[in-house]
Amino acid sequence: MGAILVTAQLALSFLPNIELVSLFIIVYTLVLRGKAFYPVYIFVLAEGLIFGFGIWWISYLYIWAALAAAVLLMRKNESAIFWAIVSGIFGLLFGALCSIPYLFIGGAGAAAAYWVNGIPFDLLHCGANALAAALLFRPSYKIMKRLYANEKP
Amino acid sequence: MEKKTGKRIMIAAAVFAALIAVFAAVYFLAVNPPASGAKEITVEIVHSDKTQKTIEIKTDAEFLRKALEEKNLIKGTESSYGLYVITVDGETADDTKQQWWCFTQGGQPLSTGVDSTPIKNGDKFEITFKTGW
Repeated sequence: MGAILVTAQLALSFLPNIELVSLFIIVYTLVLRGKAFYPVYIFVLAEGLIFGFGIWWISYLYIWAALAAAVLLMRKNESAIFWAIVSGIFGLLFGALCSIPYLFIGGAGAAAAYWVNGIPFDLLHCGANALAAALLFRPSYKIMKRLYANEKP
Repeated sequence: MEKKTGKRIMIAAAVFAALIAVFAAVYFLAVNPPASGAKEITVEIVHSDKTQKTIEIKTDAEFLRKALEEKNLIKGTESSYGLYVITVDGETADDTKQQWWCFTQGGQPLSTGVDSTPIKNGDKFEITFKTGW
């Protein structure tokens, strides 16, 4: 599953901020609950090994886990529209969450500038995430549930 | 159950719409006023023919990309990890010939891209044309 996340990320990496990783993490977490953190951190480690352990990687240590944790809190929902909205909100907050390390490196001004400059990309991320989840949540959730029908979360 | 789900979706949609409005407002309000140039950084460019050019930049930018773009010094392609710089000071690196631009600060390679390299007053950066990975 970690490999699927990496493949999904690499396959769409030529499109800025358009990805399927958020959707897959939502689906993994709904089906596997706490066990979803394993593929999440395999993905994070693989991203660091592929692209280098830069400042952005520090934010990856908590961003994807935060999404999985949020999904755990709201796991009773199975509506595609609901998860499309959650995925959209996550895309929108992505830049703000990524800016946290800059608070410690360059201060509040650097963090704010990083976030504000990235807002157009966050809006794109938001729209793409919402659309991807609206279209693909149901089929991917169905497949995951079938594959892991006997899995105890 | 249906009613509960509907209510949750309505709340999530309201939060979603409010966040989009706030983010868009912040961006449009923050679209930067002209730089008054509180910081001064030095950029040394070494071209493929080894000619050197030193440029002093006065800027209010927080990150290197904006400071360089204010002087129209760099161009490139956008990626998930920020701008991949292809052209510097009018010279374009051809990656099919393994040409690239190496960014260093005080001789040390940068561990971040131009989008996420913070700048402070007095910083000195070097941008050197390189051939071979």
